[in-house]
Amino acid sequence: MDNYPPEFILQHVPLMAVFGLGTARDLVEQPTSTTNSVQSSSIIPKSQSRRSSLSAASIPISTRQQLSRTLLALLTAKNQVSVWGPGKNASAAFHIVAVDKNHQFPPRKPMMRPPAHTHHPNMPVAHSSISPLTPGSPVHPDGLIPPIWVRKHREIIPSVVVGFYDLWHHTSSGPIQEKEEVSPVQEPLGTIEPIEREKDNNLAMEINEKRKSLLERGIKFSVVILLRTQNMDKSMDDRAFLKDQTIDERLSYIRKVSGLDARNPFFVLPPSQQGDLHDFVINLQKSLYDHGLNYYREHGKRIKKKRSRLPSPNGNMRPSLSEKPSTSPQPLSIQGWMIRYDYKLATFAEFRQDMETAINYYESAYNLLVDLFAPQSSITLGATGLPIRSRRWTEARILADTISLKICKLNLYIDSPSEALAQLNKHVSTFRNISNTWGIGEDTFEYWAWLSKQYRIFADVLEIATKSGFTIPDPAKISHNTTSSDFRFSISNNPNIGSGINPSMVLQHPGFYYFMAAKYNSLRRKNFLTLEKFMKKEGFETSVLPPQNILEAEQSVDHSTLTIELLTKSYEQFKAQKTGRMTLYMASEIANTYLDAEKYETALKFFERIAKTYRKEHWHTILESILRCSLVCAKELGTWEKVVEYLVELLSDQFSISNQKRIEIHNELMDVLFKMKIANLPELRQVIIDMDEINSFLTCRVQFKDDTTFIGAETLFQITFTTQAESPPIPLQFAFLRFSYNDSYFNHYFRNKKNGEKDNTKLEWVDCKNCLQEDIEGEGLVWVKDVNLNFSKGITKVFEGSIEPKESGDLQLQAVSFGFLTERWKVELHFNLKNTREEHSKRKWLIGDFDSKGEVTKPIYSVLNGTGERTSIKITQKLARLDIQAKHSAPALLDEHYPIELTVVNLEQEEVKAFLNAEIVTDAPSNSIDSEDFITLDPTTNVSNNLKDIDIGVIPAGESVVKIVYVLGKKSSFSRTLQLTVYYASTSSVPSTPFPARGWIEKKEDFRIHFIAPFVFSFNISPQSEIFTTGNSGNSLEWVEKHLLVAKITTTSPWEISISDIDLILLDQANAQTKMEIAASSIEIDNDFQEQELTLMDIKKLNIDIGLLVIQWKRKQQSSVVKDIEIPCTESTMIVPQLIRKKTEISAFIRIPPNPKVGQLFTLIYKIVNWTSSEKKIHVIIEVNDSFVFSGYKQTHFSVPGMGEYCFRVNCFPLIAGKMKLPKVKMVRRGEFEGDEEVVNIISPGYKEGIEEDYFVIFVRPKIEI
Amino acid sequence: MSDIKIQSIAIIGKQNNPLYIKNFSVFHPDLKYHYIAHTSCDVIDERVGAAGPEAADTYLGLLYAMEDLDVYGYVTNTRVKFVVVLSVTNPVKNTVMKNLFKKIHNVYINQVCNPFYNLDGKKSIVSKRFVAAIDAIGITPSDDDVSP
Repeated sequence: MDNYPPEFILQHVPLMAVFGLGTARDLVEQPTSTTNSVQSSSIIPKSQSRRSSLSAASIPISTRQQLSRTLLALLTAKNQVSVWGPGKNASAAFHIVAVDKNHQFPPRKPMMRPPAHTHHPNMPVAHSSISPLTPGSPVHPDGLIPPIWVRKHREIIPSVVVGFYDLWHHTSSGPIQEKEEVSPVQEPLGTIEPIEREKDNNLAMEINEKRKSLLERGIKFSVVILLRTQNMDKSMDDRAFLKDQTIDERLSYIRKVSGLDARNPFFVLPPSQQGDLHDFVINLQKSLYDHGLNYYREHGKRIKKKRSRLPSPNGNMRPSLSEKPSTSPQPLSIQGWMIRYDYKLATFAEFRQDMETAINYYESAYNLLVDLFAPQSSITLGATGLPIRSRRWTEARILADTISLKICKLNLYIDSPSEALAQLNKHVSTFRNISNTWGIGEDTFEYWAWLSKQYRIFADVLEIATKSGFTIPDPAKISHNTTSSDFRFSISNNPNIGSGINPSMVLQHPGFYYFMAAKYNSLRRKNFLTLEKFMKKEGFETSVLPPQNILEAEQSVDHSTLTIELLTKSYEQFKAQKTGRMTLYMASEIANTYLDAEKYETALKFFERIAKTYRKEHWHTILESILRCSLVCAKELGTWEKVVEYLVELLSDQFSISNQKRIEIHNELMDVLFKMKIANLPELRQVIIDMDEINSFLTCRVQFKDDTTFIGAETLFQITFTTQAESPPIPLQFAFLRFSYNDSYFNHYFRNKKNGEKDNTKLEWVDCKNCLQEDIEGEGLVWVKDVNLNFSKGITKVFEGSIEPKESGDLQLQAVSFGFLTERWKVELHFNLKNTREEHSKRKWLIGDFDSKGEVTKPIYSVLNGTGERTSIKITQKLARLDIQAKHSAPALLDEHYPIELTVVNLEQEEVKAFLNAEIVTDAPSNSIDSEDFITLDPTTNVSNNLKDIDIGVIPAGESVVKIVYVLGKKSSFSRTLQLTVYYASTSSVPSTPFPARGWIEKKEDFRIHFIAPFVFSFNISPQSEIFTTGNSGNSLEWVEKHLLVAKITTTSPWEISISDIDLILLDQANAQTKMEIAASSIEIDNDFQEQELTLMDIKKLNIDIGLLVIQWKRKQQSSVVKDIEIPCTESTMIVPQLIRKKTEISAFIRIPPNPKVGQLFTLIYKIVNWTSSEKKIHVIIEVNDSFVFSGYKQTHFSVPGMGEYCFRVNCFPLIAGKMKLPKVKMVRRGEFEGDEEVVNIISPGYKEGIEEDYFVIFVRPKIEI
Repeated sequence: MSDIKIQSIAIIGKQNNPLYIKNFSVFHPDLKYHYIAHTSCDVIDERVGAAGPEAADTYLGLLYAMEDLDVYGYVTNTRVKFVVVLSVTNPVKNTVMKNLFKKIHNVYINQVCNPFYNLDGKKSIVSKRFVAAIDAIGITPSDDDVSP
């Protein structure tokens, strides 16, 4: 774009000239006339740009110079010198130039209305100095439009002029001079002094003169009067000052005298701050904008008139020229004038921002101009007036290009992108046709250079447009939404087609056009290179060559750099569009261009970067081309490692290369590796090619046969290599194959064993077991074997190896590498197995073996469990193959030696030596230290709650050993857990270190044991009698109470229990003669009575501990576990509850006569003893029942004297035989007052105490014994 | 409307891997169409993404025009992409393109119906029947059901 005159390209906006503010140069120049100290602090540095001076403008504007600078900066800030203008939406904006006050605008000729008297006979029509009619003009005599004409209107002749003037005051020495004097004098306000009047008059005259001179040219003149703070009362504010009558009067005077009427805007700028100035500048432009547009409209009208006066181009002017072709320049043709006027009209329309009109005129000019190039003009009859490569021809081409660009751009302004694109297409196709007739067509670099340029400037404009807010329509919407405003894109041009899309009308983003430009530029290079080659031949015809100067210019062009620049622009565009693959395409184009330009290093960098994506997405055709190019680059650069890498990848049959080509690649690789002597190579070049990252001709799969293995067990693995159907084309011999494990101890290294026989087997099983450990240089200590590493195409080789793991953990086969070893090279094809690879097929295992002759049998595949690969295996300790069984007769009873029979079964293949650990753990939350439980091997000893390292002995394979342990649970009947641990080792390899250590195999087993208490006790103590007896010594009295203790012992055990002995161990307090009777000698002690007489030693003590009940017992039936071992009786102990005595005042005893008989009267004697010294009254109530008849009162009472006795008799006559309840006698001691009553307890010796409502029961015998 | 000239037909898998690319042109090498097919993936993804998950229309219209080639796109419900490259001629009616893509889609469906065809595979389609059917479409773009 820079090659075109900027005037033809830049956006036109109305021009405004300002004076009185200094010139633009002042903006950047440091003010020199600093008379004020204030000013020096606010100097704008030279280096600062216009914009930065704006931002620094917050400082108070105190001087005239500062004000001018600020105003000028604001005015010129928005000067549009760009290609892309404000467009139709932009606010009114001028291009503003600052001129000197005395600047004389160039006179314009002819005048708009040339007065008759100016017609001089010698000068028939006055022409502009740049008119074709003026000799000395750049376009004389037949040029069209010179750029200078556009510049004249863009920069020199303004449409509006604004003058900035100061209102004179005492303090200001002159309006323009930038000297400041601070006047100490305060002027009285309200009167106009004569000197002021005089100065004002001068100012008005000056303005008037200016106005007149500009009016002649049709230029609007406007005045801005700057008021200053210096000439006002500092105490008054601005508004008050404005209202000042004097100033108003002076201003209106000036206005009147200077002849500025209402149509000439007149501004007054009061002293103000930055923000106000900004608004003022905008308002100034806004109010003058229409005047500016009017100016250009007038110009347009004038030109239109001129154009209409032109004669028809079909006149006889041109034919005469074409008939007599002459080398001397001819005057401009009518058609030329038409172009000239159309172009001017378009330019003025553009100046007044009338884009539609501008497009129309530009198009008109364009069509006329294109016609000039045609061999046969259709407008002006006859041949073209433009000889090829003449100066005018070149100018006209530039004009055509720029007009076309203008049309494109203006169409973008008015938001019709398809028209813009159409113009580009039109321009390109028109000139393609014309160029072909000129002989500078599609086979010349000139044409392509031009075409590339067209697309580039179009892309440039489009890019600028999009940056300025233009949006490129979405092509998807165009095709689908034919009824919307996008209608015109699709069908308006082709109404018959209906819903559809016209690709040539779809404007795309600039990246595409940059790319086209780049493409065409590379064609330009190609054509130029062809031409150069052609020129080197002898005897070529020089006449077909373009002129020497063009050739020379072309020779100096760096085509590749230009192409790359264009491609990079395109790349950036696509990148911005987030179309990653398109950018890759661009990158590949860039790389190819670098390659063409022999910049191999850069090219290679690009190729490497883009290859990844194509490889990942399986675009092999593209990848192949990239690899081939990379190969070329790498060779040129001498990076042979890369060469090897590319060649290896190219071997893959993913690329559809012919076999012959593949053989070439193969041979090339072999040559590089084996034959080539490359200078400056280090001793040994190591290359590791990661085969997972490239398209490999060889695939590798790994299978461990099992998922887990044990230490020391033989662990098999198979590594399967498959070559592709078409690759390698020639059998390939690798020098070595290496398996690398995460534990380097297991690394394998196979050397190639050349066997002469040719193997054509498609599937081969290779035995890699029985390797020998060797120290290989560069590899360390590895397992080595020599096997055949020959690979031809379409075969599968399965390498089966075995390892014996030494430690538990995960063992992983991390990498497999094939290698070439030559004098200079060590190339490894590396398969990384660490990363999981996608594989969903069933796991397979190739079964191969040797037959009797030592030949490998024909292998067969078998299927393993699972899918995918197994590159790692879990190694664990061998699982204990031992069984522990426990036999016991649950539930266990507390206090007993509970036998548990443990059977340890050896399921191993060999005899083992085993040891046992056992522990009994109570479930109770209490801490185990208090536990009184025991576990023992011998029921006669109670040791502890655990057993340690009990030697079970040697168990032969498949046999078992029985061990009995006894468990003794005490107190609580919680469940217990028996924790058993058996550890063992093969008798052949008993570790020297004790368990736990390596070598021991451990088996744990837990058993739950439920415990219950063997007995349930219930006790009953009944008083029997109490009596004083004389002591042994004779002179003491003894108090004897007799009590009956009944203990009921029940067993809850489901097992029969035999009791050997029950013993009541009395404590000291109860010194008693005990008589014990076991009522039921049955082993079932369901009811066991025990009678004891207790002699109580101390009557003062009320509660007396009796003692312990101790039972010696054992199970009646010995546990099935224990047959021949006598388990001793165990002892259960129970505390007998305390005897609770009550201190009584009155005791009542009943003597029940023995053997009552029906029909025989008997007497119940109640003996009541009063232990107190006072008389007690007893109330008696007798309840009758059906069993007896009794005589006497039902209710009666008597008194018992102090320390005395009373006998109360009840005569009973039994009526019914059997167990009968006696008539109940209730005795109540009467108290002295109400409520002081006490039921007297009746005690019957030999009888149990009645409970609650029960009374004594006797057995009444029948009258007649049966 | 038989004036459309098919330059290339490309079938691209859902992971943007090429399934089948056929060059019907004599002016450009295969590589060119591979590049075009590959770059089309971006535009297709963008269009499909912009249309949202419920977009009904599988025909994506003109993807882009570059040099003398116009690239049209189509995406199946299983995100398999079809790309047809035309040489620049006249405006193309949507229905013509839609029919063309429908035909390609049918051929692809026939291929997928083969139970031995691995749908998720990244290998190119090599079926002879498929290749022949695509060739038939490319060489004679019939317009039986299109009335101009």
